[in-house]
Amino acid sequence: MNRLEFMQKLESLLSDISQGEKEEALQYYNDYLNDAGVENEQEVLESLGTPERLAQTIKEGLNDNGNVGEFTETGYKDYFEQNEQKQEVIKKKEKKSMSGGMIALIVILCILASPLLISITTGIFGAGVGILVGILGFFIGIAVAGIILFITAVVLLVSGFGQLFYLPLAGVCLIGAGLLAGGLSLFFIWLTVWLCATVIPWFIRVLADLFSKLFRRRGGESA
Amino acid sequence: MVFNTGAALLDAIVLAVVSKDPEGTYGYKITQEVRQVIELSESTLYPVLRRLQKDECLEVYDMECAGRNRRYYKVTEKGRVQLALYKSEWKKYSQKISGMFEGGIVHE
Repeated sequence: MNRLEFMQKLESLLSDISQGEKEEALQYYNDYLNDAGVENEQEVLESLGTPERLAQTIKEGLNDNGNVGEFTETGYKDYFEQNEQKQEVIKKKEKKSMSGGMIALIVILCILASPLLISITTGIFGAGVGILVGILGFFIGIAVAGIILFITAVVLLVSGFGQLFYLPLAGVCLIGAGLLAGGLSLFFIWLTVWLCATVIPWFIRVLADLFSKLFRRRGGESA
Repeated sequence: MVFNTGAALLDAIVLAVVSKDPEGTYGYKITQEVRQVIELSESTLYPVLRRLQKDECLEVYDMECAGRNRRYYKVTEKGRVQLALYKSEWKKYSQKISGMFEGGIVHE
């Protein structure tokens, strides 16, 4: 890259800072290259690094408070470079921590534990299904009880009124039992309606929340 | 260079270099002189000069030289005060460290 290309590239990279700052920086480096002399031009361009890197240094200098960097045994370093090095170190560490042996070990452990894992998973799944079916059965039981009690109440009341004229005592007993059954049936029907309208939607919402949380966590980890 | 040097010391060195020329001096020359005492990449000094200029420790002016304008840096009054502070702080600091190294007793 020759001087002209370098400066043009630098200018375009500095297009997002203020006009004044851009001209200031461009003038400085133009002066710098002029003063270095044509014979040293290539050497200076190389030691300035890439235009991208130089633009980065200029931009960081714009909002620094005198704490851009410091000297170390390898010369002056700004924090940009230091961060790059730190990130490299971290990456190396991550790579080290997941070496081939480690991965193989995890795979072997998974395989060895798989019968246990499968049985546990099946067990949990079975228990879940069982509980769901049980709850559903309970609801259906309540609903059926309500309906049967209602029918019983109607039958008892009708026959009770029928008996009232022949056997008044039996008739009153039948009517009483019918009213009792009717009351119970109304209670069960009310319970069924309440369960359908309130408890089931609530239960579904809780389940949905649980699943969405599980999946969201999975998504977060993979991202 | 085994020792880490903070930005303050770099400011002090730059101010000292620039103040040697009462008429002011220019970027390339400053860089070369600073490099005589510390290792420094060519791109390091611009942000430092710009900051010192914003802090009003340095002022700039353009002067024609060999048919083109060259930007000159000159220490301001504020810059001189700042440099005097750096110098006295450095003296105290370096004396303490030297005293410690040479086993002498350091007086506050």
